[in-house]
Amino acid sequence: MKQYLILAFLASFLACTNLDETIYDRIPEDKFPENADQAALKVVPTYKELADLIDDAGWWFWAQEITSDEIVFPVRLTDWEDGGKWYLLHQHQWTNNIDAVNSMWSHLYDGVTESNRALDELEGLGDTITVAKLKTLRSFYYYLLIDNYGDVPLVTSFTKAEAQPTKNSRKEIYEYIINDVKEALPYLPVNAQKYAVSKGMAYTLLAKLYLNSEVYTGSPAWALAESYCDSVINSGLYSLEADALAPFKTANENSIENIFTIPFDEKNLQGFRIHMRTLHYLSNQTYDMPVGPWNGFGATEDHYNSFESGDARKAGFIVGPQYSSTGIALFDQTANAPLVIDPKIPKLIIDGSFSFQQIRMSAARVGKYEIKKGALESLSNDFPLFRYADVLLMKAESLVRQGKNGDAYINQIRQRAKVSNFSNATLDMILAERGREMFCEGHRRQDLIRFGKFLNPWWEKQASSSDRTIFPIPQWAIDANPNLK
Amino acid sequence: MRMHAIQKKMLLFVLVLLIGMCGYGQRIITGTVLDGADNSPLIGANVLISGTSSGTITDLDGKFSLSVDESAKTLEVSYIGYTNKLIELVGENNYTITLLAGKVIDEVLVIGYGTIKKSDKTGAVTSVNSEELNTGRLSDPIEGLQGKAAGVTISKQGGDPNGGFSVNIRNAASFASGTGPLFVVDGVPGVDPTTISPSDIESYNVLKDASSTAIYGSRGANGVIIITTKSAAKKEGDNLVIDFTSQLSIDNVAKRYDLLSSDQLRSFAASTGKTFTDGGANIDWQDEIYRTGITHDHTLSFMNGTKTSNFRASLSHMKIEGVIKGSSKQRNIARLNYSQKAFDDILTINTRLAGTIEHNDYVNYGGGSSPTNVIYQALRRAPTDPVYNLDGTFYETDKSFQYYNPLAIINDIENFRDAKRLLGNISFDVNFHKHLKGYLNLAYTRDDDLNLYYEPSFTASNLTNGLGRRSYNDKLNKLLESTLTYQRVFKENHNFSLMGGYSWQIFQYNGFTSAGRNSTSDYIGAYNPAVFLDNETDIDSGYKNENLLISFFSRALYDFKGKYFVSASLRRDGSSKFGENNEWGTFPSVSFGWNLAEESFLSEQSLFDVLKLRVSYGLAGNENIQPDAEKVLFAPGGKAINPETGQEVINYIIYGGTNPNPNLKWETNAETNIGIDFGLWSSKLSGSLELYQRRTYDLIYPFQVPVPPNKQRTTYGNAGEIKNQGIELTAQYFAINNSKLKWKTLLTFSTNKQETVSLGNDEFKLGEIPTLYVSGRGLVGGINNAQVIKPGLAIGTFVMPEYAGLSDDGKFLFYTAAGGVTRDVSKAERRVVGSAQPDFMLGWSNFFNIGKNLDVSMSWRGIFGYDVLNVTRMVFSNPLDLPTLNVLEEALDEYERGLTSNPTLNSYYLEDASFLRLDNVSVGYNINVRNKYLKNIRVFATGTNLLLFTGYSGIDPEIAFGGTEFGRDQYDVYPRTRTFTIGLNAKL
Repeated sequence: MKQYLILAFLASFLACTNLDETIYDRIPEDKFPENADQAALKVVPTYKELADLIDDAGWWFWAQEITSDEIVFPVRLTDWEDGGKWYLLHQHQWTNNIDAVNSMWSHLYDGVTESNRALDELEGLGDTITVAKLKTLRSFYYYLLIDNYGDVPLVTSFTKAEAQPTKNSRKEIYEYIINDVKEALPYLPVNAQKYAVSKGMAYTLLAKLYLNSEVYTGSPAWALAESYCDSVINSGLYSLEADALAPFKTANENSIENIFTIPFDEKNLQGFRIHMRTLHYLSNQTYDMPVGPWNGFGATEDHYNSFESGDARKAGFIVGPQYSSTGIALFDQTANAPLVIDPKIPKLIIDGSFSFQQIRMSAARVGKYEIKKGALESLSNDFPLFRYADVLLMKAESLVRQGKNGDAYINQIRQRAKVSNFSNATLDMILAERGREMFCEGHRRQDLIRFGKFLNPWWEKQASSSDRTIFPIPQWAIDANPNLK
Repeated sequence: MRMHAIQKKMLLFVLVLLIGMCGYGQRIITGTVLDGADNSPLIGANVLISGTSSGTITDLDGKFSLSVDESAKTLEVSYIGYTNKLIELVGENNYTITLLAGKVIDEVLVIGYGTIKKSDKTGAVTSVNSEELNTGRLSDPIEGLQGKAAGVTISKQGGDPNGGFSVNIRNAASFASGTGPLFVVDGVPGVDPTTISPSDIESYNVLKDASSTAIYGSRGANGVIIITTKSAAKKEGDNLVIDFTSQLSIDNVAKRYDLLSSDQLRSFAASTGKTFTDGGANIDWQDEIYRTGITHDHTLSFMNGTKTSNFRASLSHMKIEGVIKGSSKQRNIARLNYSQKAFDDILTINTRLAGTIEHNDYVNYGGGSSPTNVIYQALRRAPTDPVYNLDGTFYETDKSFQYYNPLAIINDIENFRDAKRLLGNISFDVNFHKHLKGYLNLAYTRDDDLNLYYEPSFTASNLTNGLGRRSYNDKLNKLLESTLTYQRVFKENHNFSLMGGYSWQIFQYNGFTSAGRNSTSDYIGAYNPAVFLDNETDIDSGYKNENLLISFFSRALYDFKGKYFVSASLRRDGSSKFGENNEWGTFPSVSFGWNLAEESFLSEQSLFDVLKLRVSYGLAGNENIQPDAEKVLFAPGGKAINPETGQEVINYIIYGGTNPNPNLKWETNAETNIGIDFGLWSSKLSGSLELYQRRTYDLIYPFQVPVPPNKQRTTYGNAGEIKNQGIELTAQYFAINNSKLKWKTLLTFSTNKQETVSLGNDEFKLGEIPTLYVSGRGLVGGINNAQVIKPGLAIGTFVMPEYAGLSDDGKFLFYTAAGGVTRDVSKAERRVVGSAQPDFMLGWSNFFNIGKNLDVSMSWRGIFGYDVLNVTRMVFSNPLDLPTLNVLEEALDEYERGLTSNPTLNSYYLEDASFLRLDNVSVGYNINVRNKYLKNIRVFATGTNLLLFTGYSGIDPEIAFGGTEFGRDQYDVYPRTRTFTIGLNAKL
C-alpha cells in the first residue's frame, strides 16, 4: 500500500507542464484588431512616424537646416558642444556614426515599414482608396530617403521582404515612387485634413520629385515639375494667407495655405520643441512659459541680413532688448547685463575668450512659429511639410529653368512680404527668395543642392567635398546588413 | 484551474502523510559538554542525533538532555570553533563530552534542495554564519555578508540608506540580462532578501560554481545565495529564551567635496575682473543639505521548544535618517518560524510567516544635470547666494540655466514609498521509510509598494506648474515544490543518495500609475490626482503580466568511505519567458571529490588533517531577460490623430520596441571548478582554494538587425560569449586559542580575469556596444560613452580619448590614431585607457575573545586595481563657470594652468580607485548576571567605515560592480557615512 502511495507522490511530479501564460495588458497578435474601430486605425502608425522627423528623435528637419547656410547651433561656452554633433554638421564634417545620420535612417524606414505592414494586411481586400493613400505616404518617405541617402533598398512588403535587402539606385526608386503616386492619384480625396494624404499633397510631391529630377536621375524634368505645380495652383483649394506668418500660428490646422502638415499638440502630440532650442534661458518670462528654454540655435548672420528692412517676414526673428510679459527689461545675471539679442555671431565655437554677452546673447532667434503665451515644452503648431507659397516658388523656378519668366509667381510672395517686385527674376534671386520665404521649414539643404551651392564655402565652413550632397548609410545599418556597403 | 491543481496535490500529500505511522521506542540521554583545554562548560553547544534534524543545545552549565529513539546510534556534538565529535550511543545514558578547539570543517552546508556535511562538498559552496557577519547599522541584511565570502562582491556607490547593494558573484556578466544572483530564502527561490531583518538570519550559503547552481537550472548562472532564518533551539522542555537588542547609531558624512568658499569666489572675481553677481551671503551648501543621521534599531525575539514543536518569533523596528536631509528609511518586520512534529516524528511541518512594512523617504539626486538633482544643485550653487529671503521664503535667482536652491528642492518635493512584503510558506518533511524522505513546500510571497511623487507648483525647480505621480506596484510569487530523497548506506562503505523533484512557480506583476501636471491644489498634491488639470502629458497607465517556470530536477550523491565522492545533477526548466521554439532547457552537472587526508599515503604525516581535491563541471542558465521579447503583442502607444477624420485616437503599436524572436532562449554558463580544501595543524589553519573557468554563451542582447525589412532596429537574440577565470581563497586561522585570549582571523581573496570573446554570430552581428554614457550640459550625444564592450576586452573597460596635455591656449589635446595630437575630440583615437574591473579583492575579518566576557571584531575590505571616471571632477574642476557658479577648489589650479576647454570626456578624469577600508570594528562585553530570569546582558559598540585608504580624489572610490556599465561618479554619489553605534542586548 505504502509503495503505491509513494508512486502516487511521484506521479504528482508529472502533473503540470503547461507553460502558457495569460496575457492581460496587451493584445495578442491573433486577437488584433478586435473591432472595426481598431481596424480603421491601420494607417495611423504610418502617419505617426512623421512626428519624430522634426526634432532630435528622427533628425530629418535638423539635418536639412544646420547643414545649410541659414541656421546654426553655435557652441556657447559649455553648452551645445555635445561632442560636436551640431557644429560638425554646419562644417559638413559628419561621419557615418553621428546622431543625425543614424536616427534619420531608422525613422524614415519606420515610415516605410509601417506602410508596408498595413499594405500587406490590406492585400486582396479591395480597399483601393486606403491602398492609394498608403502608397502615396510610402512614396513620401522614399522621397526623403533618396533625397538624403541616394541609393537605398527599395522594400515594398513587410512579410515578403528579403532578410538582407540590397540597394536600389536612386533613379530606380525615383521612377518607382512616381509611378506609385500617379497610380494612386485617381483614388485620393480632393478635400482632406491637412495632415492626411490628398490630391494636393500628391501633386506637390510629384512637383518636388520632378523639380529635383536632375539631382536624382541626372536629367531634368522642369516642364513636368511645372505642370504638377499647375495642378496645385489650378485646384483652387489653396491660396496665400494675407499674413506671411499665418501658416505658422499655434492654431494653423485650417490654414488655407498649408497643403500637408504634421499635427502637433503640446500635450497629446508632443515633439515640436523649436522654441526651446532657440530662445534665451530667460525668454520664458516673455512668453510666460513654465519651462526655461535652452538658448541654442539662431539664424546665421548672413541669412538674417538677407532680409530687407521692411520685409514683413522679419517679424519671424527675435532680436534686440528682451522684456518680460509685463514689460520689464530682462537682465542676464551671468553676463551681468540686460538681455539684448544680437544677430552678430562672433564664432561657431564661442569659447571662454568671448564675453558672456557674446556667449549667451548672440544670433537672431527664430520666432517664425508662433510661441503662444504659456507655451509648454512642446508647441501645438502643426508643422507644414508642403505649403502653397512653396508651390508658387517652385512654379517660378521651373519657368525660369525653362527660360521663361517666373515673376508673376515669385512676386505674389514678394508682395505679401511687403517688399518690391522682382523683374526678370534670376535663379539666384529665386534661391535667395526661397531662403527668406521657406526659412526654417526643412527645405534649405535640398534647395542648395539643386542650385549647386551646397558645397560652397560660407561662414565658418570651408568648401565641402563632393560626396557631401548625400549622407552616408549609418555604420550600424551596414554592420547589420553588409549588402548596404 | 491552477489553484485547483495545487489543491489536488495537497490532498494527495495529506493522504500520503496519513500512512506509515509506526512507532519507535524512546530513551533519554543526558550529558555535559566541556572545553577540552580547561574543562569549562561549553554553553550553547549543538547536540544532534545523527541523520536527523532533531537535537538540542547545552545550557549555562554545559548540560543537555535529549530524548532519542532506540534506533539512534550516534550523537553529533559541535560548537563553533571546536572540532565536532561523534558519540556512539552504547548502553550508557549519561555522557561527558570534551571538545577540542580548532577543527570546524564539519559544519552543515545548505545546497539546493538539501544539506550536506561541509567535508562532503564537491562544488564551490561557501557558508557564512551569523557570528561572522558584519554588525552595526545595516541598511540591508546583505551588507552583513560584505567582504566575508570570496568571489562575492557586494557593493554600493555612496551611502544612501534607500539604495540597494549590487551583488555580483564571480563577475557574473552579460550584455543586457540581469547579473544578480538568485536568492533562496528558507527554500523559496526569488524572495527579496532586503525584507529580512539581519537579526533573523542564521546563515548565508553561497553557491558559486555552475555545478552547484545547476540544480537551480535557468536561474543559476549568476550564482545562488541561500538564506536560512533562525529557528528555535532544539531543546526539550520549557526553554523560553527572550532576546532583546536595542541600538542607536549616528551617521556623519565621511568626506565632503572641497568647494570654494564665498571668500574664495569673491577674491577670484575681484582678481580676474570677471562679471559676478554677489548675493551677499556666506553659505556652505553642503552644510545646508547634510545632517547628522540618527538610527534606531530594536529587535525582540522569543523562542521556545518542546519535544515536538518549537517556534521563534521576532519583531524588529528600524529607522535610519539619511545624512542628506529629507531621506530616511523605516522598516518594521515581524516573523514567526514554527515547527511541529507529528506522528512520532514521521512528519515535520515547518511554517514561516514574515511581514515587512517599509517606508522610504527619498531625496532627489542623480540624473545628471537634472533641475531637481540636489547634489548637483548644491555643488554648483554660489556660496554667496543666501538660503532664504528676508521673509523666510527660499531665495531663488535665475542667474544660470535651471539653477535652483537645493534646500527648497528637499523641502518642497514629496517623494516616498510605502512598501509591504509578505512571505509565507509551509513545508512538510515526511519520513516515509528510514531511507526515503519526502518534502513538499508551498510558498506565497507578495511585495507591493505605493509611491507618491509631488513637485508643488510654487517650487522654482518645478517647470510644469505642479507635477505629481502616484503609483502602485504589486509582485506575486506562488510556488509549489516537492522532492523525494532516497538515502542509503550499502555494505557500510557505500553512501548513496538520490533526490528527484518537481517545481512550479508563477510570478505575477500588477500595477498602475496615475499622473498629471498643472496642479490646482498644492495642499492635496498627488494624494488625489484629480487635482491635476493636465492628465494628458503624463497619461495614466497600468500593467499586469505573468511568467511561469516549471522544472524537474534530480541529484545523485555517492561516496565511498568518505574518501571518494561523486555528485551529479540534472534540471529541466520550462519558462514562459522563452520563445516557443525553445521553451525547455536542460542543465546538467557533475562533480568529484577526493579526500586525500583519508588515504594511507598521508596517514603518516600530521601536518594536514584535511586535504581534499574537488573537480566539477556544470551548465546553468540566466533567464533574467525582458519578458515577451519572443512574441508579437499590441499595446496602446499614446495618442495620435487619425488623419482621415482629424479625431484623436489611441495608436496601437507592437509592444517592446524590438522585433519578436520565437527562438529566444536562456543564456548558458558552462563552468569548470577545481577546489582544494585544506586543514593544517589540526585545522588551526583551514580553508579552500578555488580555481574556475567560466564560459557564458548565447548571451542575450537586442541585436541590431537590418532596417529594412525589420521595423525595429533591434531583435533580442542569443549570440556572444564572455569568459571569466579566477582564483578565490578563503582561509581561517586560529592564531591564538586559549582560555584568556582567542583570535580567529578570516581572509578572503579573489581575482578574476574577464574577456568578451565574441559579440555576435552569423545571424546576429554586432560590432561593439558603447556603454557608460556621461551626461551634462554640453555633453549630449552618442560620442560621450566612456566604455565599450567588444571582443578582447572585459566589460567595464574604458575606451575614450586619451589626454595628451594642454595646448598653448589651454585646450585639451588628445592622441590621434596617426600618433599625433588633436584638439578636436571627434578626431581623437578612442583608446583603451583603463578598466573598472578590479585586479583583486580582499576581505580580512578578525574575531577576538579576551577573557570570558570581552569580544572584539574588526573587518577590513579592499578592492584593488580598478579605475573610476570622475565626471564630478570633469565638470566641477572646470573653471569656465567661475565665478557665476561654484566649483571644486581644484578649478582654481586648472585656471592657473590655463585650461579653457569645455568639460570633455577624456582620460584626464580617469582615476585609480583602489581602496582599503576599515569597514567595521565592533566591541562587545558580556555582563554575567546570574539572575533567575535574566541570563545575560551584553553591551556593544560598533564603528563603520572608520578608515579609508585611497588615491581617488572624489568623495568615495567604491562603485556598484556588475551589470554592463560601472565605474562612473557623476555628481550622483550620495555621501558615504561614518557610523558609530552603541547597543545593548539582553537575554532572558
